[in-house]
Amino acid sequence: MSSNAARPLDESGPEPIRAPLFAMAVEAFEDDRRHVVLDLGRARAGTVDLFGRYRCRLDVVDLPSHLSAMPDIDDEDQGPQAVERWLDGLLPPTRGETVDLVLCWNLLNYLPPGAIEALGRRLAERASPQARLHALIEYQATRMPAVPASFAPAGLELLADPAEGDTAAIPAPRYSPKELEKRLPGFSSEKTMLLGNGMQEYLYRR
Amino acid sequence: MFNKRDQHESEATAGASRSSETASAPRPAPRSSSGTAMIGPSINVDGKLRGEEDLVIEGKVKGTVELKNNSVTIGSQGDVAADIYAHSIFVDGTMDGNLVASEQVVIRKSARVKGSIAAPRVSLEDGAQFNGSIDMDAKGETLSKAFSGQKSASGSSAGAKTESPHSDTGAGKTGSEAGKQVSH
Repeated sequence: MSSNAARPLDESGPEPIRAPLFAMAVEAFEDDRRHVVLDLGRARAGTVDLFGRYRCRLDVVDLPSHLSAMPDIDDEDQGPQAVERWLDGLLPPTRGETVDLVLCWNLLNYLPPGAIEALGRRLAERASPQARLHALIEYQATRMPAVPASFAPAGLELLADPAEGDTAAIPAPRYSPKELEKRLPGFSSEKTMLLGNGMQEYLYRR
Repeated sequence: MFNKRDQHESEATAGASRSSETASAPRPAPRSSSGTAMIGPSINVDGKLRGEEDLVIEGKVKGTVELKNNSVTIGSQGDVAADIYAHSIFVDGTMDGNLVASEQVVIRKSARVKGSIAAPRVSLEDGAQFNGSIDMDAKGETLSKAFSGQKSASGSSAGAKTESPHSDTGAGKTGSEAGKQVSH
């Protein structure tokens, strides 16, 4: 891990954050093969622009905006199954193709471990044999915004767009790469990187 | 699902005065047709809509819209649950269904879109709500299938037509002001 490659985020404005692992995952698309990307965040212009340069299908499901409707994972009888059914209702159809890259952005910070497992099971069913999963994790900070910020590529860097209005903070789960690996069946931690904004970039591979 | 041509076929020709002028004219180049049709805010259309002119939808449309050589704009008041096949598609309003364009799809910030998009070029403005698939692969199956043999597949008559079991009325209504509402 190195923080040298990252530059500090100017909190007064939306400065792009260098995200080397995100860039690495996208650069793998340089071949002429068709790829499928599953974006689990809000649809953003930068994401569409970036993946529009490649032979690509981009699936977008804004999971953060649906979190308030997620069933209680701690319900002993129905929790995990209910969350899986909830995910099934939101995830787009596979259309006979497997996913090459999953973009979780900061979503995993807002999911309890059981919900990450449920999501991981669904992703494992959709992922291609060499699929990658990219996530931004609040690792250094003990607290994080109660409402998830949204992220968008600016070229191969990332721009954070904090939610407007709500400035409340909640404890950050500070998931470690290994802890998440346990929750994401079939995915192994490939690399981690500390970013200039204090978040940690995790890249997993099948 | 709305292709009920076999059951009932009613045609409401948009711009009827224009259609007689252009019916025998050579096939127009993409987006160079003579006018713009508009489905106004009070109009509901349920069925299949085809034609050879640009279309602005400010009303409710269910079914299929096929204007493969022209542009379709879903205006800010438009509420569409349909599959749309067009040269270019611009969305400001609400859309649930498949958008297939041979040239481009533009999702503006006021848009709420659920469904799939297939086009060689897609742009989405921040603020737009989108859930679904965007296929920008020019060699992709959806685009190839939708626009293969396009020249023979499209009708030869001019003017937008509806084929609908129960169009409320006024589909493909045209107006001189409608053309001013399209900005490309």
